[in-house]
Amino acid sequence: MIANIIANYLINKGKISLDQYYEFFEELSKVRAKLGLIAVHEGLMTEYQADTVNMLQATMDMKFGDLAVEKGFLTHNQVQELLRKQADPYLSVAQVLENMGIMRLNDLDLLMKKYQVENEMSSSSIEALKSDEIDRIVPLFLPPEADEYVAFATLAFKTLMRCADNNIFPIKGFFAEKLDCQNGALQFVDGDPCLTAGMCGDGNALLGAACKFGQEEFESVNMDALDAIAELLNCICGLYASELSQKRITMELYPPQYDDTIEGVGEYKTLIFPMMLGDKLVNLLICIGEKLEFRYS
Amino acid sequence: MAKILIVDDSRTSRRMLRAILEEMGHEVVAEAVNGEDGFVKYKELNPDLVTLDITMPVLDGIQALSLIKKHDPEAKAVMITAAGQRDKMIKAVKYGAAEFITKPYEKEVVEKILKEVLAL
Ligand SMILES: [Mg+2]
Repeated sequence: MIANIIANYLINKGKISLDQYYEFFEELSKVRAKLGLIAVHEGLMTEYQADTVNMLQATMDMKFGDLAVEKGFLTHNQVQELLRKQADPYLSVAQVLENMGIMRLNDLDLLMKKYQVENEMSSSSIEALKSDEIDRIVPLFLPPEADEYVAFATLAFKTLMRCADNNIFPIKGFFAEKLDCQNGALQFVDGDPCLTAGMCGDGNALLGAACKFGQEEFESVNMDALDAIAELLNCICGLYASELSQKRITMELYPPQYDDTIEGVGEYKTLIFPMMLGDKLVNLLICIGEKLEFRYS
Repeated sequence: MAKILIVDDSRTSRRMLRAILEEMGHEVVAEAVNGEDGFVKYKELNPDLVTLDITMPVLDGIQALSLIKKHDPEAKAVMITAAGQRDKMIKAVKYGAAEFITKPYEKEVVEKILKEVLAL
């Protein structure tokens, strides 16, 4: 997900083209960070030293690690440590950007600093983002006093990632009494406390998720497509109820509702958790303690 | 090959399940959109097996199961559940459900369970 966040940030800032954006994801699936890049990231080698070893490597049939040890830049233990870090998601992103000639690691680190300031995030939040661990990332995007909502939001996010779109990233969530939107699905889950979950969007925002989950080529977000969204929501609520049942808390799922001619949803305190699914803005809604309804004009 | 009735309020779910069942060579004799509709169609068509979604309007899957079992104690019913409906599952077992399938469907799981239940 750090890859999605960075790629979208780059495109929003005009640093990469749409073609480069797609190429980025294609390259990402193939690449592993090179030891030189990781060594620079860890502060064990300078960029110049890494480049030197890389150049030597081109003329000699030796591994980067062995050469770096021979040159006295690294110890054997350090090489082992670097090898373990090769699967690091942030470093993989850095490697792809470097391979594509877009920017080097230093520039990416600076870019992340800018992202951090713009989004008012702490350094530890940025470290969590770089880890690509959903359980650490989702809470960063929820407002204060959203503790009760974290479990549902995290589970929903993971399920959407698995069943609706791999290319997903969160946007800062907020509390509101109502949300304006054109179509969506809601599901009421009774219990103590009860909750209402929803997925809503405008126009064809929910189309990609509906097609992927429903395994069908819908042309627009019509009632059939929303039926697929409602079933997806049903799966999320089911998984949530399952987690609670392990704590001996019983929740009762009600049949989801959906409509393509709404004006919005309301009107109780609701966590609105926006996210990008592909290039579409989708809202996940969680209301604890009340039953939400669609609003009509 | 078995004659199967699918009862589910979601068109998406019915479609996905139908595709798997037909690929296995079964005949889906009808689809019903809620528990009441399911009970009516069960009596009318007397299928070899019925799949019952649990969360449905009008009559839910458990209520439909109890009606179907009263009408036909030999009925083979497979319950379709979103994960986590533990209490409902216990109830369904009490009413005589043969097996459970959790949504979203995994083809291999559906195939395995259907084979087992039809062999009963
Ligand atoms: Mg249902």
